[in-house]
Amino acid sequence: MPRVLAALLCLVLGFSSPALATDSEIEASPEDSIDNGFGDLQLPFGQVRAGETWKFLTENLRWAVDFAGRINATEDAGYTNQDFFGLDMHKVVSTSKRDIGTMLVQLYVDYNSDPPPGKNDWKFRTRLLFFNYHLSGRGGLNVRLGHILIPYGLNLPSRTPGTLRQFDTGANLGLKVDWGTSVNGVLSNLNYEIALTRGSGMDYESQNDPYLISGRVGTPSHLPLAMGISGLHGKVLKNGRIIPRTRIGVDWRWLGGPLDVLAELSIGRDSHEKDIVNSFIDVSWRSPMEALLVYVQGNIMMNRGVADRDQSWEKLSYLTLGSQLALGTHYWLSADYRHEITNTGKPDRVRAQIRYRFF
Amino acid sequence: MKAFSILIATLLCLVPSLAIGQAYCSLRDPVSAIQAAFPELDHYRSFVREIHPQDRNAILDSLPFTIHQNELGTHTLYAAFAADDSLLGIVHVRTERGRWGLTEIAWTFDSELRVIEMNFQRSRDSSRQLVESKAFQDQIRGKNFEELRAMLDEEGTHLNGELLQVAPGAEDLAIRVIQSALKTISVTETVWELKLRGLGISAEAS
Repeated sequence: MPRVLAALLCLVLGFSSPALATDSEIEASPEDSIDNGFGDLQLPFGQVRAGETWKFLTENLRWAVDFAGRINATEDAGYTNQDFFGLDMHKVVSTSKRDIGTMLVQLYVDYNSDPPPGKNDWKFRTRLLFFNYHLSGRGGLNVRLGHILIPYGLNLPSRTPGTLRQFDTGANLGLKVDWGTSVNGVLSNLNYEIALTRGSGMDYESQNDPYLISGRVGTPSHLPLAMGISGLHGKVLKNGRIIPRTRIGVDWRWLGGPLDVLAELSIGRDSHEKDIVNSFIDVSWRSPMEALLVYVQGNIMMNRGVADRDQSWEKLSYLTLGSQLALGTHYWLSADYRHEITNTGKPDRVRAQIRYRFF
Repeated sequence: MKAFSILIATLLCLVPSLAIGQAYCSLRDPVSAIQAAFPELDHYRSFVREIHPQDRNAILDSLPFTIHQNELGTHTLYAAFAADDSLLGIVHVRTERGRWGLTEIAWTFDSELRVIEMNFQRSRDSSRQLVESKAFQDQIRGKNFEELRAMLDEEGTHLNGELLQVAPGAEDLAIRVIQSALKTISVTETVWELKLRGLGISAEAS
């Protein structure tokens, strides 16, 4: 992990070196001219002028402290709680007249009162940590490197970080984020991202050589109706087990009226043994200022043995009702309730979360 | 658990408001809008600035209508350049209250802060197409703050039908769009004044 972080930092600094001495060409702003008191700095990637070190670090930087407390109540199993303490940073690295790339850092310490067997209740997590380097100035070709979102279906663009409301990632991806690299871009009529990642998810693990190739090509997301085609193939490492996994999926997003509709349909195979068909729909309503969001989600997950195609599909289906309320500009209250529609005996689940972001 | 309950009860007493604090991984550059507005685009550059309460007062002085406290915060101005580094224009995305949720509008301006075009980045309004139509865009293209201001009445809350013709059913959205243009120009001039000067843009258009 430290080597990955060091490499990422070197890449950022290396790509950004032209910015260090030239940004004052575009503007000599008193607000940005703060002498760092150390004079010029000679670094392997170039020179940082006195007074520009602080500017280089702080220009085009957003940061927020992000805290959340969550209570999970499962039918007949009592309460558990989780707490998240993190830092969320977004920095655009630029030369005087061009953005070089964007760095995103989301580092969290999580507490889980009921951790998985063998895991500590406190854990440091790298949710996202990447640099997206703009190979072309028009935004048509970029290379992302680090801990990235897996480009598949409704997982992109990211709209659910740290929220109870999640889309159909678990059943298809197994992982929401992964270590690796991707090429991505926005062209006049489509968006795309294709990634090669480790296949181990939150933590970088190489045992049994996991890997994941994934990608999504979609129509522009600013249109009322957008759709995308996704695929993934690889060996996913989860809970110490390697799971060969293949998926092809289609997703739709409709934002043309009082209700937003998001949907995803995926077919594929797990472990060379099971055919998979997963479908997901999310229908949501929000108030004019989006202070209140109410949504209902439906999942239908089906699997059938490859060797038993005469058998009927095994089905697992959930209905989820949820809401999110913004209080002021820094607090969010959210809650959801999940109920199994099929009859496999899954308990009902209620969750509530309070979240605070200081920025 | 008791402390958590007290905290929840306290927070419920607060007034629900605009949710502006999404995680930063959800931020996206308006690349499609920049590409569409400037066919000769070669590269662009971001300038992030925070809109402070004192900026809000200055902005309010220039507008006939009020702006919400929650329109403060951190925002990005994009400058678009040709291959020879000459400035093509600037792009600023503003978020407005919509009938069915927030509306995001990407405004593109030339070096004199005259409108080049507008594109919805997000809108659930059924009259969206009418406002994005060529007929509407032709009426606002090339207009500066004063000319856009004249398209609304004295209070800035109704259309001036002599200067702006809008298809039936799209009046409400058209008013919000013109208000957004005025707000965007005023915010850009107030908050990015030094950047505009550095880019060779007149910050005295209004």
